[in-house]
Amino acid sequence: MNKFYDKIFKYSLQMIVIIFCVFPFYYSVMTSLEGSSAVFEPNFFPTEINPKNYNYLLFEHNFPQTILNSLFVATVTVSISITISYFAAWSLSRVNFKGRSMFLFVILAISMFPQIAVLTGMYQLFLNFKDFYFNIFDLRVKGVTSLLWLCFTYTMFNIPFTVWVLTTFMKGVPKEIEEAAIVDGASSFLILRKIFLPIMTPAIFTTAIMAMIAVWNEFLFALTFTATNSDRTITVGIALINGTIEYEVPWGSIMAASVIVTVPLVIITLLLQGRIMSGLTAGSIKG
Amino acid sequence: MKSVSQLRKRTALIFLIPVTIVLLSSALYPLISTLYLSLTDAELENFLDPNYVGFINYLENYEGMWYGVLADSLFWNSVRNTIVFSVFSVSLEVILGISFALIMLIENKLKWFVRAAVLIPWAIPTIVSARMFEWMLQDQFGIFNYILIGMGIIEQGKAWTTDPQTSMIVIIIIDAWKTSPFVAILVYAGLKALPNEVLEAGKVDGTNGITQFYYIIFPLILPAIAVAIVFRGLDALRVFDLIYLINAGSKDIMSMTVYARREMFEYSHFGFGAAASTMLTLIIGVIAVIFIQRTRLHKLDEME
Repeated sequence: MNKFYDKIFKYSLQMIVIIFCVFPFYYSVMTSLEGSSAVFEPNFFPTEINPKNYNYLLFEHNFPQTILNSLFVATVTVSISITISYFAAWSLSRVNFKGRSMFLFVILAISMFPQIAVLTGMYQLFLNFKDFYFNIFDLRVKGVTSLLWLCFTYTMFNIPFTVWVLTTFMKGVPKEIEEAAIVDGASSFLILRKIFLPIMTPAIFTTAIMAMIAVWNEFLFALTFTATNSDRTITVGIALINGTIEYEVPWGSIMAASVIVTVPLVIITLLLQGRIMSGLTAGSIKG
Repeated sequence: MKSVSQLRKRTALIFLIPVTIVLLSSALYPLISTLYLSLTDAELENFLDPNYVGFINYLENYEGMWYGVLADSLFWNSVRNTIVFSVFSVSLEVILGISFALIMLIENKLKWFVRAAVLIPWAIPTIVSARMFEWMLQDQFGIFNYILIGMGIIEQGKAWTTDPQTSMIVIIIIDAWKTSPFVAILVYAGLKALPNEVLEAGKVDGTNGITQFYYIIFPLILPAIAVAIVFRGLDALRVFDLIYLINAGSKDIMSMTVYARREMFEYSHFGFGAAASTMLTLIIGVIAVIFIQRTRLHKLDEME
């Protein structure tokens, strides 16, 4: 009998955790599927399925543009920072040189930096960049200035994180694998391309996904450096969804927008569950 | 002839050049220019070419009155809010995180679902979690008030997010919801790294679960918890989005980052805002150094 209660007790603890973590997400999915009147009747299960909120966002609102902007910024940022970090991670994990710990410590310190500490300086740089950019390119491509600038700043803020995680992952690769190639006289570049790349692909992929989520979710810089409807990213886009009448908040549309940007992340996270867990751990505790 | 190891060292340094450039331009340059701007009268008109004014943005005595960031009660209010937020949210996250991690260890059919569920809040953007909770806590149509009314606890809906008395609590809870999973995953990894005998030992002795946890497991996962506290603590001290989103207009619950950003981009007091953000950096820097020293995080590299 005791064993039976023990089992029930464990299942209920697990259910509490699951409900706690999933309920807000479930509830917003449900709200997003309801029409205007049903939204304003609290209930636990949908009373109707109405695509109205999604139709509005996807066809009458500039929301698709913000998704494209975020995708653009995330892709550029992640590709650049992963490439730079991959080579740096090799140096920091496989080669012994003076000042290596110091370098890692500085990277850790920078990753803990408050973003606001550099915001004023960044804004001044941004204005200079805009001037410079406008002088070189003609009017047609002016619209992407803010987005290019966001790519630049996000790359900078992602690099300490990606370097740190990739270094930890690369430390885990057995020394023997590399030694054989060194004996054969392969160059470091060749070793990184032919030997490490296949082994590291899952780790690189995990790091890239985590960096991508960080970019996707960023708010402070996106809010500061984007100014028009055409260059907003999704976080700012959602923050600015407002009703036509003041004080009337369009909760259905806000929830639909939230669901659109969240569902891909949730699916990726669930598929890569184990990998993301090891990536998160690698980012904080070293190997 | 150069030895292989010398060649490798040279290649290693070449590979580090791009990262170094990025770190110098992302951290050092804007940091120094922010520092310099805090000593100028930069406003919107002269932002690119401000005049040096000394420390008056920090503190100035003008005709017997004190001015500057350090004399602004709103600034100190924001420091207090930030510390209250950090202490309470991180404590709550550590408690929830450890509990979740222990529950994640339970081996049965629900195991996969628990581990999957725990990652969901982590993956959701802060802006989305803020809006989700705002909606659930909404005064007229929110599910939370609906439940409370149904249970007879309150008679009519309460505006949890806009009421200054409860909005800080709401913000702490949203933050805990979003980031406890991170703590849970770190602690879970720490628990997984323990030898199985440790987890089994207490059971044989017949000690109850809590005693076993407190005396045997807890000391062993303390390093993992310390790391979680450092990362979460430093993150909490620079909180911006949640506080900005939940209660943008309220001075009562403003954090330091919200205060500094407001000075810069709403009032165009760039010099003053830069001074405020420099103060924030100093405060976080001091706390970070103490944290890192205490937890010996910088020694982890040599431990291997």
